[in-house]
Amino acid sequence: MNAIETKNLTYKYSVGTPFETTAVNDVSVCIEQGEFVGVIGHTGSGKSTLIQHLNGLLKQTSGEVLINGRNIWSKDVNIKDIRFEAGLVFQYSEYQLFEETVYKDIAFGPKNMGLSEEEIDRCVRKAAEQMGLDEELLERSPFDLSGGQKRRVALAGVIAMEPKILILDEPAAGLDPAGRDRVLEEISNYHKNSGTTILLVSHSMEDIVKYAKKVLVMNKGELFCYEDVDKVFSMAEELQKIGLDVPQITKLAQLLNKNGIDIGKDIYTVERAKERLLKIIKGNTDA
Amino acid sequence: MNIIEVKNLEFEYPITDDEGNVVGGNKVLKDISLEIPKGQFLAILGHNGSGKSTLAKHFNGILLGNSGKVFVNGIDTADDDRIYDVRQTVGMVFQNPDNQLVATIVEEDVAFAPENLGLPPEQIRERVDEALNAVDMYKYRLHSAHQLSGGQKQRIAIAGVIAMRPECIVLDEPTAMLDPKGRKSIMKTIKHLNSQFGITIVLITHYMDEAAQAERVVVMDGGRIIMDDVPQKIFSKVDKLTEVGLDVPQVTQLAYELKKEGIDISLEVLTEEDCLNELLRVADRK
Repeated sequence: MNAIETKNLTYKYSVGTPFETTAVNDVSVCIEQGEFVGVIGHTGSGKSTLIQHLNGLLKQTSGEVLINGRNIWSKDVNIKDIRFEAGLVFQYSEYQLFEETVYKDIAFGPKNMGLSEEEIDRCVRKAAEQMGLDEELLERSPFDLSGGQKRRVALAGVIAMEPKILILDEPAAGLDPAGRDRVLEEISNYHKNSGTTILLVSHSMEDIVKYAKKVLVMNKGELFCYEDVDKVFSMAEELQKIGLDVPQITKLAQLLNKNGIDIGKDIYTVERAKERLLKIIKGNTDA
Repeated sequence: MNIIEVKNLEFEYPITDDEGNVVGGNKVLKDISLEIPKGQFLAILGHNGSGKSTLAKHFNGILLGNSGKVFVNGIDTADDDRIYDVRQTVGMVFQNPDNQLVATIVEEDVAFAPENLGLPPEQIRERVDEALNAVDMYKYRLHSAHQLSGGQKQRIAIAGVIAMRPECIVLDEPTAMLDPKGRKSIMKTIKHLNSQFGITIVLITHYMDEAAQAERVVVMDGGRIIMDDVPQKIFSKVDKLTEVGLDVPQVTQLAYELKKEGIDISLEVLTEEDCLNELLRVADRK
C-alpha cells in the first residue's frame, strides 16, 4: 500500500499576479509504507513546497495528494486527522519549543489529539525514550538544553503523536558532527522499530547515502527521479549537471575511472571504495 | 608580527542559583596561548561546547578572561580606553544572518558602521561601495536586505564589517545555517578577502571541509587547544579527530582504512586530487 501518492501535483505561488511562479510542476510519485526516502534538490528546487503538501499545509493548484489511500482534500476527510497521520518537522525545529518543561512541550501534540492523561503520559515517555532523552530532562526547561538536545525534543514532540509518516526538513542542519550523528541515528532507530515511513530532506549527500533506501530528486519544481540509492548515485554526472553535490568519495571514483583505475560507477561509500581498491591493488601486487 | 596574541587565557561562565547569586563557575577556556600572525587564514575547529566560540569572543574584547591576557596589535583588550581601537581592528561575523542586519536596504546596512565612526558622507559612500564590491554584492546595493538568500545576507554582514576597514575578521560558524551554494559563496569571499586585501581571517567552524581550506588549523576540545598544525597534518590524525567528535574528509578516511589493511599510502590527503595521485602511485608500484 502506498503511504503517499501524488497525482500530477502542481503548485503555483501568487496566481493571477505578475509574480506567478510554478514551484511544483506536475509531480506524480508513489511512496510505499515503511520506506526511508531521502529528498534532495538544490535551494529553490521545490522540495520544501512539495513536502508541505503532504500534510495539507499547502493546497495544490491542481492535482491530488493521497495519504494512506485517502484524498486529503476530499469532503469526507478531516484535514486535522491528516496532520496527525503525517507529521512534519521543520528546519531548525528547536525554534518551535515554547513550553516551560520538556515534558509539556512533547505533550502538546498528543493533548491536541484529545488523548487521556494516561495515554498522553505514555506517548510522551515513549517519544522521549525513542529520541534518547533521559527521564531527568523531562522536568527541565527546553531552553536550558544543548542545540542537539533541543532538536531531539522538537522531534519527540512530533513522534509523540505516533504519525504513520514522518517528514523531516533538514533535521541535522547546523549541528556539529556528533549532534548530527546522534539525531540521525535516533531517527533511523525509530524507523526500524516503528516501521514509520520517513522522508528526510537534506543537503548532505553523505547523510542521505548513510540512511535512505530510496532517493527523490527534485529539480526546477519537477520530479527528476525517484529511485533506489544505488541507481541515483550511479548517475553522479547527471546530478552534478543539475547543480547537486555528490559525496566526495564519488568524485574520487570519477577521477579514478578517468585515470585508468576501474573502480566502477556505483561508488558512494568509503566502505565500498575500500573493498574495490583493495581488490585492485592487491591484484596488482599478486601478479 | 602577530595581530592577535593570547597568553595563558582562562575563562569561566558563572553559575548562579535561582536568586542570581554566583554559586560556582563553569570553566570553558583552560590555559589558552595562541599567536595569530598578520595575514594568516586560521581555522579553529571543535565540536559544540569545545570552547571555540567563547575563545573567539575574546579576540575583540566582547569577553574578558578571568586570568591571562589577549593583545590585538599589542593593545590589551582589557584596556577600556582602547577598546574602540581593538574593535576597529578585529571585526566579528556571527552564525545567524538574520540577527546581524540592522537596516532595510543593503547599502544602508553596510553604511551603519562608517556612519557611527562619524565619517564624512563621501568617505562613507566610498567605503560602502568598496565593501560591497569586495563581497561581490554591489549590484544588490539597493535591494531590500531581508529578501536576499541566507548566503547573500551573510555576505552583507561581512561587508558591514569590511566597511570598518578591519585588519582581521573573526567569523563564528558563518555557514552553519546556509545551503551548499551559500556555504561555497562565503568560503570564496573569505579566501578572496584574505588573498586580495591581506585581511587576517579567523574562521570558527565544525565543518572539516572548510577548515581544510585554511593555512593553519587549531583544534579545540574541552576548553584546550589540542592540535595546531597545517590541515594536511591535522586531518591525517583520523583516530584523534574521531575521538573528539569531528569528521575527516572521506578521502582521508579511505586512505586511513587502506593503510589499516597494510597498503603503504600517505594519510596526508585532503582533496580528491591528492588521493588520486596517492592511489596512482600505490597501484603502479607492483
